[in-house]
Amino acid sequence: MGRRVRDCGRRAGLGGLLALAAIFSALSPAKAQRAEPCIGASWEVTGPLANQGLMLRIAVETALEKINAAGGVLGRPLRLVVYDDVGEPARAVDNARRIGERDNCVVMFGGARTPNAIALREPLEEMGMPWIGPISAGTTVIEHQNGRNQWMFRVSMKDRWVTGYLVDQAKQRSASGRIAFVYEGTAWGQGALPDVEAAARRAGVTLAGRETFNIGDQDMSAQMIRLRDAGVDTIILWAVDRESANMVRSMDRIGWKPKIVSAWGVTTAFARAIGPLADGIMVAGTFNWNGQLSPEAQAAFDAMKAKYPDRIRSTADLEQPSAMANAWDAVHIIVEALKLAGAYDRTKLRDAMFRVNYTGLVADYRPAFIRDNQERMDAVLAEHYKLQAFHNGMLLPIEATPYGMRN
Amino acid sequence: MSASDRPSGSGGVNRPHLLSSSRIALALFVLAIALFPWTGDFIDARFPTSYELRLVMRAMLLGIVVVGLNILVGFAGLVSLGQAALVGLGAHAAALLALRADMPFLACMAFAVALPAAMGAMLAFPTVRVRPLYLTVITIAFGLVFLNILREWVSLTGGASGLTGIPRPTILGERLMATRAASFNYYYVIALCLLLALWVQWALARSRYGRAMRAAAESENAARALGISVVGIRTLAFAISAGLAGLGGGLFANLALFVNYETFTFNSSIELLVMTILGGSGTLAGPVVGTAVLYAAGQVLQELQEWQTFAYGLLLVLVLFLMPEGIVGSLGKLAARLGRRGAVERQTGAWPNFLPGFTALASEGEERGQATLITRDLTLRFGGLTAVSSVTMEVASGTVHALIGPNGAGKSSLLNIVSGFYAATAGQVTLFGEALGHRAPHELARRGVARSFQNTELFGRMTVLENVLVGCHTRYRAGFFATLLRLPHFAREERAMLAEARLLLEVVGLTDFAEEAARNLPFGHQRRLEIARALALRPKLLLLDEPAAGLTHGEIEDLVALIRGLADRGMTIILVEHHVEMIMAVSDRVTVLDHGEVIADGAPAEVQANPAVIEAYFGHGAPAKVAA
Amino acid sequence: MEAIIQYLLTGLSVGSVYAMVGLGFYVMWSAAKAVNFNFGDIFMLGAVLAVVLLDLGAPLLLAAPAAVLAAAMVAAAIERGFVRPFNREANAIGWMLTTIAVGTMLESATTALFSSNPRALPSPLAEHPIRLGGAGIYPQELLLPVALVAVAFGLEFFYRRTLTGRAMRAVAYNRVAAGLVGIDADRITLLAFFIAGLLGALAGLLIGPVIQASSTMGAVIGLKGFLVAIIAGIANARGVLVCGVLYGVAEKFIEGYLSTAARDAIGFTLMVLLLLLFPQGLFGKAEFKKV
Repeated sequence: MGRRVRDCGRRAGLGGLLALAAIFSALSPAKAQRAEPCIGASWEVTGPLANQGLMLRIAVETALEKINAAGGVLGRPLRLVVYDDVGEPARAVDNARRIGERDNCVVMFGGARTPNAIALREPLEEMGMPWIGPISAGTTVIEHQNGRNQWMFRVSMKDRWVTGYLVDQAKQRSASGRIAFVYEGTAWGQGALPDVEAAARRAGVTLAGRETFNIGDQDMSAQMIRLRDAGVDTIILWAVDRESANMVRSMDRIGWKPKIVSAWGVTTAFARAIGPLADGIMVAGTFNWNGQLSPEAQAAFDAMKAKYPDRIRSTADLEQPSAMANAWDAVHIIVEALKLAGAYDRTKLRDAMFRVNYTGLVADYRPAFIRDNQERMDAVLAEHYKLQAFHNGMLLPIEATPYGMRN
Repeated sequence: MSASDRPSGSGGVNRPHLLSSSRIALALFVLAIALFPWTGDFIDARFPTSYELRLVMRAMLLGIVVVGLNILVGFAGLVSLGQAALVGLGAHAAALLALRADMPFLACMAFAVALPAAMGAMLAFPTVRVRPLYLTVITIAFGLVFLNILREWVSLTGGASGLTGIPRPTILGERLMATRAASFNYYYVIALCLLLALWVQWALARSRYGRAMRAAAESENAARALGISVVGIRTLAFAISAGLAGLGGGLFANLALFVNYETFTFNSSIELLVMTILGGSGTLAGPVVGTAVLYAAGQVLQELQEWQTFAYGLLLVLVLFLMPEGIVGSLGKLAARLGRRGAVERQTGAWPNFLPGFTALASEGEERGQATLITRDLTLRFGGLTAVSSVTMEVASGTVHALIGPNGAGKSSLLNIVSGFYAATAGQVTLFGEALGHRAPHELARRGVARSFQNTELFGRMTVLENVLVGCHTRYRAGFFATLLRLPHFAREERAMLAEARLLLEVVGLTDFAEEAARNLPFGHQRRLEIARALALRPKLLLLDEPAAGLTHGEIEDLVALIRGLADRGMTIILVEHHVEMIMAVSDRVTVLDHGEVIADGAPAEVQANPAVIEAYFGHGAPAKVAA
Repeated sequence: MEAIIQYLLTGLSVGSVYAMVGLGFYVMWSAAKAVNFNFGDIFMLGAVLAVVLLDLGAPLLLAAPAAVLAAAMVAAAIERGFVRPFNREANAIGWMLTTIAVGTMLESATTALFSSNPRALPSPLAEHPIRLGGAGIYPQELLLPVALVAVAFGLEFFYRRTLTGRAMRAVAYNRVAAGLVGIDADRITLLAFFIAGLLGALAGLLIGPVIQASSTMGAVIGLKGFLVAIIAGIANARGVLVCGVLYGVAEKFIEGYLSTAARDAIGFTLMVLLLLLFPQGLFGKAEFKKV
C-alpha cells in the first residue's frame, strides 16, 4: 500500500509539471521577430516602495492615453504591461525575460533599485531590448565598468552628477564648511558614497562625517550625535521618505537642526509624515509641479487628475514629482524614436533613440542621447537639475521659499 | 491518518516491479525535463523562449533547495528559517571563488556545497541538543546576520550592489549556457543536479539514516533508546540540507552571473519553507510539486498587480486548509483511502512464536551466572526530592529480575539511570562487567541495553516494519556514502536487516501489519511492536517498564511466555511491574523499592511473605498476605 | 555623557517596545505552545488603524483604544481561524505557515488600501521633546516604559489574582489536566491571543507617533520581539521583560560605540552566543525531561 501511495505522489509531481507546461503553452507563443506595440515595466508594485510604482504607472498610463487618443504610434495604440519585481534582482530578470520574450514588447521601463538594473545588463543585451530608467539614479546603472552600455537609457538623475550638484549646494550653504554625508545601506546609498567623495575632492571639501543606517531603522540618534559632536552644520542626504522622517525626528530629539540638502528619495510623503520639521529641507530634483507650470505640464497634470480622480486631487498628490515628470518625458521620447524608426523593431528603436530631439517637461532634449558615449545614455543633464525645498508641507521650487538665500 | 504518504523502507526485499507506476511517473518526469528545451521542434513554435527556460531553470534550482529543506523538515522534523542565507552562502562562495581565485566551475561548486554544509553542521550541533525550536531561532538570526555582513562588507561582496561580472562557467572548455547554440547545456547541468538531489532524498529515505531522522522527530526518547545519537543525526540532516541549499545557490550564481544580498532574505527563507510544506513535507515528490506550483503561482498572480501578494497569501491559506498535509501528502492519503477498499482482512498471529531463525539470531548473551548489572549506592536527587536512595542490587545474567514497589518508589527512575536517561547523583553502575560513569542512552544501547517505555513510545507515522528496522540501526556497518551510493554491500546488509525485521514481526505475530502505520495499531499490538523493536537491537539486557499495563488477561499470558522464552535463550531482563501474579509467574528474583530505597530482595516467594513489603503496599496493620 | 543619556533614553523606549511585543509572544506561547508568527502585523495594525480612524474623523481618545481593541480582535480571530486548526498535534508546525500566510495578507492588504507610504499618527506628546542638555526624548517615548510597567503589573495581577488568569496558568502548565478540571482550554487560548494582541497593538499605537505608521513597520520589530522572547526563555515573563529592555539599550550602545550599519549583525550574534551559553534561555529554568 505504501508504495502505491508514493506512486501517486510522483504522479502528482508530474501532474504539477504538466500543468505548469500547460500554463505556458496556453499563453500563445510569440512568433514574430517584430516587436509588439507595448512598453513593459518591472518595478515595485507591492511592498514598502509600492507607491513609487503606482506613481510611475499613473504618469505612463496617462501619457499613453493621450498618445493613443491621438491615433497611437505608427497607427497602433501603445500599451503598458507592469510586473512586480518585489525589489529583488532575480525577479527583475524574470520580468525582463517575460517582457522581452513572452510579451515581445518593444521597450521596457525599470524601477528604482540599482541592483535590479545591474542584473538586467546581460539579459537585455542578449535579447536586444532597450531599457529606460525614469527613477533609478545609481551611476552604475548606465555607466558600466566595461564602458559598453548599448541598451540601457535613462531619463532621470545620475548620482555622479547629483552628488556634484549637492556638494556645491552644501558648500555654498555651510557656514563652517563642515559637511557630512548620510546614506541608506542600499545599493543606491552605498553607490553614492564614492561619487560624493569624488565630488567633495573636486570641490575642495573634506567630509566631516559619513553615516549610514539600514532600511527600516527607526532611530538615528547615534549617528546624529556623532555628526553634531563633529561640528557638522550641513548634511547631504541619500535616503527615502520613511527613514528620512525618522532621522529628522532624531535631530529634533537632540535639538540639532543642521541644513539638509538631499537627493530626491525624499518626497511629498516625507513632509506629510513629519509635518513642520520638514520645512527648510532642500531636495534636488528634475521637476516641480507646485511652481509656475508650462501649458504642457498643466495639461499633463489635468489629464492625470481626470484619469485618476481618487488618487490625484492636487499637485501635492504627485508623490514622486520628479520621477513622474521623467516618466512622462520618457514615454514621449520613446514615441519620437518609434516614429523615427518607422517600425516596431527594437534595434531600430534603439538606433533611433540617438536621433531624438524633443522638448519635454523636464528639459529640452537636444539630442536625447549620444551614441558611443556611455555618459550620455542619460538624457537629463546636471544643468537641468532644480533645487527645491519643503515649505509649509509643500515641496516648492527653491525660489518660492524663504530658503533661497545662501549662507 | 496514515503514514503511508511517508517514504517507506520496504524497498529492499520487495523490489518495485520494473513497470510500477512510480517508475513510469519518474521516467515521464525525467523525459519531460529532458525534452522541454526542444518543445518548439515538436510543435513548430517559438517555445520555450528564454523566459520559459529561465522559469523552469529557476524552479529546478529552487527545487534542489527545497528537497534539502524537505530532508530537514519532513524527515528530521526541524524547521529552518534561514535556508535562503545558506543558499546565499553557496552563491557567494561560487561567485567569489570564480571571480577572485579563478577557480574552475566544478571546484567552485564543490566549495558552494561544502561551505554551507559545514556552516550548517556548526549551527546545528550546539542547538539541536536542547530544543528543536532553537534551531529555528538560530537559523533566523544566522540569516539576518549573514545578510547584514553581505551588505556591509563592501570590499568582499560589493556591498548592496553585489558581485557583477562573474565569468560564464565552463566544463572541459565548454561554455555553459542555456541557449540553443550551446545545446542548452547549462539547463541540463541544473536538471542533473535536481535529479541528484532527488536521488539523495530517495536514498536517504530508504536507509537507516532517513529512518533515524524520522524516528528522532517522532520520539526523541525511543530513538535514543535504540542507539541513535539524536544530536548526530539532526546535525547530519541539517548539514545535508545546507549542502543542497549551497548547491542551489552555486548554480544560481552561475546562471545569473550576478549576485547580491536581496535574493537571500528572510522572506525567501519563508518562501522556501512554504514550498516544502505546500508540496507535502516528508513526501518524495512534494518538493518538486510544491516548488513548481508556488513558483508558477507567483508568475500567474502578476496579473493582480498590487493585490498579488495578498492573493499569494490567500492561495497558501486555502491550500493549507484543503490539504493540510500538502498537495502530495493529502492526495496520497486520498488515494490510500480509495485503495484500501476491498483490502484483505489482516490476521494477528499467535505470539510468542519462537521460530528457529529467531533463536539463531538471539544474541548469545553472557555466560550464565555472571552479574549483568551491579549497582552500588545508586542515588538520584531532583532538587530536594530523592527519587533513588543508595540502591545496591545485582542482576544475574539470563534471569528475569523484577523491580516492584508502590507508585513513586523509584522503579522507573532506577530504570532510567540504568538506560542512561538520567545521570545518577551518586553511586556506581557496573554493566556487563564494566564500571561505567554516566553514558548517554544511545551509547548504552550500542552496548546491548534495550528498553520499552511505560507509555509506549512508537514512531507513530512510520510503518510497523520501519519501527523494527529503526531497532536495527546500530548494527549497520555500511557508511554514509556507501548508503547514498547504494553500493552492493549496503544492499546486502539492507536485505539482511529487512529479513530479520520481518522475522521479528513474525515472532510477535504482526506480520500482516508490516505496512500499517504504527499509530493505527490497537494498544496490545503496540506493546508487541515495542518489544519486537527492542529485540531488533539484539540486546543482552532488556528493560521492560510495565509491559503488562493495559493488556488483557490472555495477552499477559503471552507476554509471560515471551519473557520466559527470552530469558531461557540467555537474555537478561529487568521487569518493572505492578501485576503481582505475573511477577510471581515469571521472575527469578524480585527487588522491592519504597521511597527510593531497597526494602526487600530475594526469590519471589520470600519477598511476598516479607512484612516490610506488605506494609509498604498496604500500610500499617494490613493483612499479612499479599493478595495473589 | 549626553550621548550615554541619549542611548539610555531611546534604548529604554525601543526596548520597551521589544519587551511588550516579546510579552505578547510569551502570552501566546504559554497558552498554546504556538504563536502568531507574524505578530508584527498586529503591532502595525495598532498604529495604522488609529490613523484610519482619525482619517474617518474620530477623536484621538476614541481612535486609540478602538484601534487597539480592533487589532486585538484580529489577533484573536487569527488564533481561532489559523492557529487552532493547525496546532492539534504536538510539534505541529502548520500554525507557523498559516500565520505567516495571514500576515502576508494583512500586510499586503494594508499596503494596497492604506498605501505603502509612512503616515503621521499625530499625538500631542510627540511634538516637543524634553531636552536634557544635548540629549532629548519625546514624552510619547517615555509613555512606553510606563506602559510596560503597567502592563507587567496588570499581567501579574491577572495571572495570579483572577480566576481566568489562573485558568490560563493551568492551561500553560498542563493543557490536558486543565481540561479535566473543567477549564475550557480553547476559550482560554483564544483569550490569550486577544491579550497578546492588546499588548502588541498598544506598543504599535504608542510608538507610532514617533516612527510613523506604515504597513511594513512591524516586520522587523515582530521578529526581534520573538527572538528576545526566545533568548529570555519564552516561559518566563519577567525574563522577557528584562531581556527586551536590555536588548533595546544594547542596540543603542552598539550603534553609539561599535557600528550602526552592523548593529543587527552584532546584536543577533550576541543573542546566538547567549543562547548557546544558556540553552534554556537566560531566565528559563532547566527543563526536567520526563521519560
